[in-house]
Amino acid sequence: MQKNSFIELQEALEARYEANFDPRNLMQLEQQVQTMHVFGQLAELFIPIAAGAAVTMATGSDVKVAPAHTDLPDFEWRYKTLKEETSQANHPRDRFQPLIPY
Amino acid sequence: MNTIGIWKPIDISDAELIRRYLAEQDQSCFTALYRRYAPKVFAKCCTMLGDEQFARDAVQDIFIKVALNLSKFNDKSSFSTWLYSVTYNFCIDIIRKRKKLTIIFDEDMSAYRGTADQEIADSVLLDLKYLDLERVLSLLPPGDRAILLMKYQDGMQIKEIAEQLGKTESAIKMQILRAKQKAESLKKPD
Repeated sequence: MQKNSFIELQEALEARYEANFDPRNLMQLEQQVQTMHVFGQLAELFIPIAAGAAVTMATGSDVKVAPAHTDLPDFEWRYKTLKEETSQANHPRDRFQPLIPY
Repeated sequence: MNTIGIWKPIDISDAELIRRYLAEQDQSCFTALYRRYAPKVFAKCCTMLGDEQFARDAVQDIFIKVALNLSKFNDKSSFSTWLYSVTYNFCIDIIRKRKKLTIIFDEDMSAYRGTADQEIADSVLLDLKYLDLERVLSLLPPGDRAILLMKYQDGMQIKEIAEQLGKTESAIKMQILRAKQKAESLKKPD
């Protein structure tokens, strides 16, 4: 593009930026971006779980938790095991009697 | 994987840097994009916001936005066009919040009726000294400022500006004309 006052203005401001460039800004940005990626991955993994739990609590009905992405292949197994343990703990044979007998 | 030192980011296109960053989460690719474009983004923020410190903060926020939305970038436009449009929108949002402005891009065409649509030569703005231009731009409404920068600094076509702002080409042409008329009236007499 032919040089004009707009280009000159842009170049003058760019030079001002470079003259006062602070590498700490870049390091800070890199850290923020990396943190956000970690949060993004955690959110991708846990938001569906949290949403499922919220629906279960609100409606009393169980919903299948389906994380969009998970690096835990045995996640479903762990979830089932946890559920079984919880239900067994409420069985009358347990030494702790439930508040409402079966 | 940090491959900086093996390849020179300066030799690599924007599209390739983006592809590598998304595929490998290679931070050095994002850093290369930042070093390439941060001064240009800063220049636009400075002109739009009229304050150097605000502009520096805005650059950081804009690049965080870019990092988070890079996967949504498509190859329909160049990365620079996309980045500048993020920049203008970001600055306009700041101005809107700061001044509680609701109308940034004046679309009320009825206001234009009855006034003479006198064509203003581009040279009125292009031949100004850049410091005079900076002053004139600082006095214009932010929407006019953004549109003039898109046209004369970024070299965007009317069609591209219209697409970026979601407006018709005739609305953009009219706004450029009005912005030039306002700029001419704000210019110091020679």
